[in-house]
Amino acid sequence: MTAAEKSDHASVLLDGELKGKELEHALDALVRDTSARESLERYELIGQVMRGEHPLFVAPDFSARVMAALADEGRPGFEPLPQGRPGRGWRTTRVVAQRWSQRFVRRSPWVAGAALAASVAAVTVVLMPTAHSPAPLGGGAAMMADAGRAPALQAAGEAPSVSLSPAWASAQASRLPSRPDRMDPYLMTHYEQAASSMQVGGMLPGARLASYPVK
Amino acid sequence: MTTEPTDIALVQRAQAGDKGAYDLLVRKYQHRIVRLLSRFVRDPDDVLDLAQDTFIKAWRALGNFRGESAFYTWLYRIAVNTAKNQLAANNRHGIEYSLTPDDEEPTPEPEALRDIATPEGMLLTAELEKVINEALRELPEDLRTALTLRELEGLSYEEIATVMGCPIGTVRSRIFRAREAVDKRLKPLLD
Repeated sequence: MTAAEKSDHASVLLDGELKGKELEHALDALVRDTSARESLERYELIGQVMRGEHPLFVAPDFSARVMAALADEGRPGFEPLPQGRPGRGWRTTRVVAQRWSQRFVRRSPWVAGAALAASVAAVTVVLMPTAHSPAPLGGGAAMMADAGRAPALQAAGEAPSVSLSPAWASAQASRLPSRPDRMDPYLMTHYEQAASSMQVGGMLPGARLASYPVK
Repeated sequence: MTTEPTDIALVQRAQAGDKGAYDLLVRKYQHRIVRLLSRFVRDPDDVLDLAQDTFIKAWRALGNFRGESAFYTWLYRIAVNTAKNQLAANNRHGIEYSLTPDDEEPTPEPEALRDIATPEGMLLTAELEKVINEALRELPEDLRTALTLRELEGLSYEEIATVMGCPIGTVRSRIFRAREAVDKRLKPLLD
């Protein structure tokens, strides 16, 4: 395979347009060819500049440094993923809330009882429509809840910022048309851009309405 | 939630110990990971160290990746948690960092994003964007349209072929030729 053919494969690979044996064949050629891998890296960079992502310059030897650090490692393992630590503000908020609620319950026990009853009623009202209401879908538009897709900034084990009731989610799963793979980078970029524009670090998890033709 | 076929194939190869496949994943996502980490840490050396840590941790945990989310999503979580742990460790040693008092996420100031790069790095990044944009403007219309539909609109080759009224093979060739033309201007900058 010539250098130009390898670069062509790098281009198509980047676009995710190869499948099956053709994909395996192209990967065989690429993973053994540093020059073709460099081409793929630069093609990716071109795409990021075109999308206005303002990529930060990474020294060309960065991946070589990573691979050198992994030189003595065997096959990938099953090490647990790093867990983020909650920030200071979270702890402060929780402590203040606990102190306030303890003081409040001590002074006005009957009000606390009423608040508890109101909470139960509110939870009932919120849960009823999610379990029984029909799907809010129509035409070619599909509402995609991307709580799971948008990377959670909390540590694993904490509640996700958006959640669907299992009954609603499973009822919708059969109705949703399959989403084209190319929606993933689109949504990912959208969340990152949204975070940037709001001067918030990382990515804003959320829901997004998008439509695409269903064959 | 699926990840794209190329990433799945690369991850499967990497899981079997193919470091060339993992190198390809590193090259594909390093710029995005560095950009992400630069929102947490200002020092450019620290950013690169954290990025390297992220990819090393990802390799060591790659056996856990089951393709239930996109590979970048998985990598993103590792990067963010690595950065947060580093920031927390720095704070224990009395070093100031950019976590806000009432949130667990750092709030970057717009200018701070620019601060993380060295002057040389900033200059190179600006030059890189300028050269790429100039090269794109100079592309023949059909090449530029094909590449724009792919990179900006995210259309598949089949959809681009429909829009441009040409065979899929022609689309593939146009996109490749467009990238090659831009790359010819870009490569000398990076060498």
